[in-house]
Amino acid sequence: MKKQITGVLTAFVLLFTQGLFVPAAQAAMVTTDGMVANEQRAAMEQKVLRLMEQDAAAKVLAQNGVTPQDVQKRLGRLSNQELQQLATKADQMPAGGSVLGVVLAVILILVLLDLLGATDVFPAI
Amino acid sequence: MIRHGKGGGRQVTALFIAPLLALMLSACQTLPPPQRAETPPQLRLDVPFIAQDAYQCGPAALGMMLQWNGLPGDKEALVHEVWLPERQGALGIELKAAGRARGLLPYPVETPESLFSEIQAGHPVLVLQNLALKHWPVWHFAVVIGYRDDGERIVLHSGTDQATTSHWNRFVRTWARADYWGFVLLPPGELPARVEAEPLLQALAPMRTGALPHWQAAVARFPDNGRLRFGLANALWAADRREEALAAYERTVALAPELAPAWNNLAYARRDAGDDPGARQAVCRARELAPDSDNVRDSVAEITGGDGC
Repeated sequence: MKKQITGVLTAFVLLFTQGLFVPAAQAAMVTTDGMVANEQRAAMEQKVLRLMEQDAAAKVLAQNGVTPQDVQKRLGRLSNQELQQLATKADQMPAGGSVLGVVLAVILILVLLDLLGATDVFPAI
Repeated sequence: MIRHGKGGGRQVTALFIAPLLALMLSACQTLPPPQRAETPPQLRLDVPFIAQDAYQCGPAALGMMLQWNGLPGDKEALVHEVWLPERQGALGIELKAAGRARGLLPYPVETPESLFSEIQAGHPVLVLQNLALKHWPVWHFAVVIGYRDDGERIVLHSGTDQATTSHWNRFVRTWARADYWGFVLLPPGELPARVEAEPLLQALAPMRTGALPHWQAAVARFPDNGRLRFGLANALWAADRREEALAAYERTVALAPELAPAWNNLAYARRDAGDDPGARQAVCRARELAPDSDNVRDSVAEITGGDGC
């Protein structure tokens, strides 16, 4: 009898603690700092994605069978610091820059995102 | 003065070249100070002076800003807090962070016009200067405490020199080579002379302690800005002033109806006040505005008890 009670109790405790810890929800109030950080991250992603929209960039993507959606998905996995580095690369592109410049920047970004094997780079040019 | 290189010899050379170069540059062109420096033609703020030790201009400059705020600005303690031995210097962002950690508002001052505006408003400005070349920098932090002769001369606490003067021409070039980096450090309730809503939000958002009075001042200055109102609401909530926070969230979504985080937080504040239908409505509005947000998705599950919108 005593054993049974202990067993039931253990089961309850297990169930209860699971109920406490399993839902790894992010649900919460958004801090002001969190809002600003999210917005900055979105702006950096936009910067990289806008580069991908240029004609020359679209060609590189098509040649390698990579879609802008692939790029977007990979961007989502980067840390803020990594994304910052990519956004800086996209930023360094002079406005209306040369086709070759765009191509090189896009290839660099794709390599960094691991969407291109580094060995495939040269055929892409 | 700090030097981001390794060789001591180069440092000496750079120190030697800097004045020479400044002389050469000032010979070729002049940059007049902004017109606003003419009224009043001179100004000198009362800012405590701390002389720096070798390379430690960052802690000394920060110490002066803190003492001007009536806080302890002990240089030795600050050296431990912001000085990086391997770089023989302090980082600008750390100086701002150290001020913020003491409940002071660090606000960027990044144009000659705003430099004079802040001095005229009685606020000393901590500036970064590059005393040498763009690609061969000798970084230096100093505190601008005034000006003379319609702005033709700038008065600074710099290094071991108390209230030293520098020609505007020379100063502005060293400042420009540091991308016009500078900031004021202000007590609660005091706002920069040339304050704008969005930079103010960015400056206040990372503040952990003593932020509430700053948010109150920000909202008083920009009463129609929803994003600053959101910051105030969050600060009230963090201070456990929930009733006021709820009112501030309500006001936020009225001012900025597209701001998903505000609807998200309003949902929690309404639920806390016992308004479950209102909470559900708010969180579902957040969901419409930010369909990709994980945070909001989980909030929906939590607020609706798993029912969804």
